[in-house]
Amino acid sequence: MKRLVRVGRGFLPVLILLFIVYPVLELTYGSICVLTVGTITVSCPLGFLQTSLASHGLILGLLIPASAIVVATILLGRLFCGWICPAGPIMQRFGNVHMFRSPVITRLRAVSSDDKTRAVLLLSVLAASVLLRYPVFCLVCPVGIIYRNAISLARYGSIGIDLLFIPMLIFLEGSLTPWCSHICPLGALLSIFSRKNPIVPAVNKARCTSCSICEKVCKMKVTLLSGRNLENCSKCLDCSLQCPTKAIEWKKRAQA
Amino acid sequence: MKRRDFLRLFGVGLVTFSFFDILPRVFRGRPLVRPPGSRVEDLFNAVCVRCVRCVQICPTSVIAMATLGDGFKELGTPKIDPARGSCERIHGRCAEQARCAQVCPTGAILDVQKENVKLGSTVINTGKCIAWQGGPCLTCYEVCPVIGAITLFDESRPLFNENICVGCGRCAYACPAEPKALTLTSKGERRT
Amino acid sequence: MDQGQPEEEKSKRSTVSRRTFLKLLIAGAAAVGGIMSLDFLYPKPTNPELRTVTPTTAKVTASTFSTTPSSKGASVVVVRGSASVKPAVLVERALESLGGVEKIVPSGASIFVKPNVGFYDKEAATDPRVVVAVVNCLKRALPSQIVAGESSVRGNDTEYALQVTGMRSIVGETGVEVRDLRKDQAVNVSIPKGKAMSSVNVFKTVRDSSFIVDMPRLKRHSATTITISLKNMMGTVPDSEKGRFHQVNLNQCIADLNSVLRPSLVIIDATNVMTKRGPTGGTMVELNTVIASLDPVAADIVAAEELFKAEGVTDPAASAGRVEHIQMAAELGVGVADRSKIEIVEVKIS
Repeated sequence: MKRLVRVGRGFLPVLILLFIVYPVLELTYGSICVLTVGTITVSCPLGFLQTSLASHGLILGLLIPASAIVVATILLGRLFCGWICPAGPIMQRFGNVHMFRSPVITRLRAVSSDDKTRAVLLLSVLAASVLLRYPVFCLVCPVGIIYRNAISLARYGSIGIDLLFIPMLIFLEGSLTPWCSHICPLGALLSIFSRKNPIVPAVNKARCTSCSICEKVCKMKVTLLSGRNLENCSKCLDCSLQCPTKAIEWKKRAQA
Repeated sequence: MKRRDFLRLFGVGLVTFSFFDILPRVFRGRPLVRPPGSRVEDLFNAVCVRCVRCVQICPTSVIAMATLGDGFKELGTPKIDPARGSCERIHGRCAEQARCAQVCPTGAILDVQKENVKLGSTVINTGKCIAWQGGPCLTCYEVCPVIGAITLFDESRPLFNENICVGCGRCAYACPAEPKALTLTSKGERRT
Repeated sequence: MDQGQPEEEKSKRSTVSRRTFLKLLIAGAAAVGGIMSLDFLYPKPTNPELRTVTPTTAKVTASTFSTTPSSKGASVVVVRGSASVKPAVLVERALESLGGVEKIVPSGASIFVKPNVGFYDKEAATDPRVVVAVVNCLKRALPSQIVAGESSVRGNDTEYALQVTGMRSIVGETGVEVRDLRKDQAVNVSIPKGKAMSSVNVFKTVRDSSFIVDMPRLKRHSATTITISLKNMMGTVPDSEKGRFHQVNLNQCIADLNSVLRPSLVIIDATNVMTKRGPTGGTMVELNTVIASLDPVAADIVAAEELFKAEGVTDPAASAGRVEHIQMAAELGVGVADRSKIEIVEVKIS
């Protein structure tokens, strides 16, 4: 079961990528940034915000597609991060590679390892979009870069140098703090909406031995034992699968 | 607000802005030729969400993704590349309706009437042109869908009228000279 | 968050060591750079219709299957009909006057029909009804197969051109396959008598056929003065070759090409001819005429004269005689260009 989920989670983003890049039976159209499945179109909410702000207006064409993703996040949390995002596996695999050891970096790392930096980063991206008049994050977004280059490679046999942004971002996160949970502005935005999402992992206090394995394996740095940062949860199931006493249950959030 | 937070805010902001503002000024490419009906350049870069749907739908594959060499701000946005094809909005598969405009979700590309379509205009380098060097070639004249955009000097050499030319790129694509004698520029383009 | 944990534990937890990461990074950058440099060194045309087809190495001389030109002279049939006469009638009379399709076409022949569908414009293309009429006649000779095909002007999508001119649907109704030659394989054919080229890449379908029926529309042409049966054969070569023709010497290359892919039967659609300007954008004149011959050079000379006559040129025969690629083809023995040696059979149908 563990292996099945692991393998599934490893392959699903790749399968989705291939399905979108080579539209089979023309069921999907577009890249992941604005995706049409049948008659339904969904789009990245960060893209909607950035383009609206950059144009000093409202991009009506993306309003409903972006809202669809927002609603999905309110209900399912950061499921995208766990099962669909192709950048997740890459950023996580190289996370915690400490590139430098210096007091400045250590200090920066400490500073960047809390939620406030993530919020500041998201606000900076939005402010930059307004002031510089283009969607700044779309330029370096690893999801966008991976999908654009995959489409370019599949259809036209060429790739772009923007792929090198990804190792740059890995370098950044390796020195400072994990990408998915602490840097990614899209993740930050989704976290805002997933705060009250109803399906969360809960610790069964009777079985728990406080071994902290769940916190160690969690890619999204959810501190399960104290019940904080649950909005980051990407439903990857690792904590419940790894718990030695099977003390973690997936249940509806208890009514406050 | 604690001083620490303020410094953090300032630091992150500074890094973000320098990366996304200075670098585009340093890495700035030539003006790109955009799909027909595109918004004015500043608005285009602001509104285009780099979803590449137009690149996928274009029947001639003339719409390409701009690379880093085309500019930092422009990276990932669509551009017209006559090395790959030509725009058939005036004549051909998109004559009824521009497919790129149809699929653009943000309105970076708008569907305009055929009469108002002008992507740019073509410029000739007579030194590279087979006809101007004496050979029997008038491929550009043959394939041009707009009468008057190309006229003949001495019934054998092409002359380009940048006012009538709509910048579809057919001539630039078909030009058999190596290297090509024709370049599509954004001069005279009509944006929305 | 992680602040409480000591450094070593974090290093132990890290899934990849720093050294490995750096190695992977360098490898990745090298891979990206490598793939991108390939793009620079071998820029690929991305329109699939225009991808350069790799020719096979087999060299085949393909000039033996056609009827060899007679040094004595040639016969050209000109069938003129009044406005009410249908194209099928014109075609039938033309083939009758040439001796009948059963005599012209060897039974069991593998026929390739070459209409002119270079552009998206209906008036620039051979009238599909004329092509249908020819195909229906050809069937009577009991060929082993009939295939029609075309490779449009560089930059135009052949499939779309076949659709929009009606060639695909109308000719498709006869049961004959209408092929987009760009999807075909290209093969190399040597040109023993070639003056500008020693060999040329042509589409396999054409080389493998044993009988070529060349069906151009009579039109003016900006670069070659007129485009008739000899020029029409350019649609049997891939785009890269079309480009080469222009670079080397267009007129001589047309002549060279026809010396190895000599059409066995030429039926020129002169129902509506393009005057003053071509191959697109000219003034259409209704002549309701079909010109047919077993000699492409003679057919072109006669047809060119007809075109100039329709334009009101003072000396149409002299103008026709000045067309370079026709003279060059005659020099290579593709056919007879000398007006005095051409017998013209005129048929009028009212």
